[in-house]
Amino acid sequence: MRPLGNSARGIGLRSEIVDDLCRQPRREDIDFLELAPENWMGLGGRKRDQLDRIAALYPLVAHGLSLSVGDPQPLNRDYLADLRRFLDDYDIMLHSDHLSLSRDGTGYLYDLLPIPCRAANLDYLAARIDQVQQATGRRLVLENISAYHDYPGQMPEGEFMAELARLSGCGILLDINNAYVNAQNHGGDALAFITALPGEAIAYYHIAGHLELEDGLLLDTHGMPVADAVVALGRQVWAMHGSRPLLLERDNRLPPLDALTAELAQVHDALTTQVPHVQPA
Amino acid sequence: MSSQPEPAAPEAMQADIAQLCARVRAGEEMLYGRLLRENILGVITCSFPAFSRRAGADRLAAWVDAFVGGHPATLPSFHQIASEFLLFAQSAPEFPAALMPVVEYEWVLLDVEIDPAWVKPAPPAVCDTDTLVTLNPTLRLLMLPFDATAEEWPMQDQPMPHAVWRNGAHGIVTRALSREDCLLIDQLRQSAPTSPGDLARHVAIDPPGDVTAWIHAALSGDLLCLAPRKEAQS
Repeated sequence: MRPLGNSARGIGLRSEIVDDLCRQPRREDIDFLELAPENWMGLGGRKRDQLDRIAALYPLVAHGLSLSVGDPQPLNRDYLADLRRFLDDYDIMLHSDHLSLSRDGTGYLYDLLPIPCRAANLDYLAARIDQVQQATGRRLVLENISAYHDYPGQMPEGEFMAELARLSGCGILLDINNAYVNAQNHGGDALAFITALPGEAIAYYHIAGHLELEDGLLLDTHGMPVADAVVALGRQVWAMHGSRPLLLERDNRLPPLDALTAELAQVHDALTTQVPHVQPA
Repeated sequence: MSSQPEPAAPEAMQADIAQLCARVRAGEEMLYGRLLRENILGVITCSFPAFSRRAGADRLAAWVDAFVGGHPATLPSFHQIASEFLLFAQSAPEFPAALMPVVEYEWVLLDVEIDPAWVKPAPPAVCDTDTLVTLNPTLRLLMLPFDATAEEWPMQDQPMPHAVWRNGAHGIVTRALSREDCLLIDQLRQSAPTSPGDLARHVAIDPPGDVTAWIHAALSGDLLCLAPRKEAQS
């Protein structure tokens, strides 16, 4: 796969839009598609057919849900082997997952839970990331999740991720909405988080909508249009770290494909028009 | 794959995570506990619609709670929650026996739908005496106490054999099997790819010429597939 250009725009490959994508020629308003490998790997039948058709039209990026890199259990080697086969088969070079855990000693929990961001845990996580990268043959890119639990005595999340990227060589998937949601929910500073991240490690950006509950808590639902405040934060991200491929996440209450790509274009324009063009010397 | 030993997490990290997960499983970490249960319930009602209707909301909620509370799920993917729930049901002593075949049958439908095997439909009118046929690679056989091909799945006096498979157009087909179906399928399961003549010689059905007609019908519905030549010759 050719590397994505920094101005690339993408959406998630959701089942609701697969039929449309298969029926249409390649769309000019989508530069790449992001898929959860767990939802596709090892499957046959209609899904396999559809994925083959789509992979012939669009570059694919893998965004996993089940790596659970931050748990204390042994890595799931079967999952990693299946994942590598899938990534190789579809020529997917960009593999991301979450800086989170989804398992305990009992088993999988099927959710993304936060890890304790403490300096004492960095070496362990860096070693785990190294093993994952060896198993998949690719750099692992990790996303900052939306967290609804605070462990005591944590480092600032941005500093923690920066140090983890330095120690492990992993990339960072900066989810702008998650940065906003976490800052609002935990009384933090989204800009400080973003400022702490090393720009050279940032592989791509996520942006999404969130839901505000009655008690003021923000939930990262991926079911709403992107909030103006998140777009404003995104402009600051662009100004600070520059252009990267941008993915609009929408997992619930999906609008029709045309409306989704229109929102992607609108958000992308809003972010990029703020960036001054730097002429080469 | 790496041969490096797995690193060990710091003890405090292990303790923190164990505590959080225990609270989530117990429903004490309210937001995560609720979201997790909603996720699992959503997968179960979507994967097992008939089972969910018959179970009712209260029993379903109780089973989801027990599943989240302590089921040792080893399959990582979200779509595998259905498989994990089936294992949970099969190991739960209090799970109602009448609902077990319903959830098992609906799981088979899902399993056939995503089976990685490639189903190549037979071209029309290819069956002659030299044709070598084999069973559809996605075929599953199961005994059910109800007729899954009739509306509302009425209970039967005796368990009925059923076949479930995916056809070449990715449709899922369920068929209640006759005695002749069972004999012919059983012979095909035991043999390498075989011809209509060989099948007729091994299975006594009345009248014998019906074997060719049966194969014709089975090929047109993709219950049978043409055997690849290389496999047929080996």
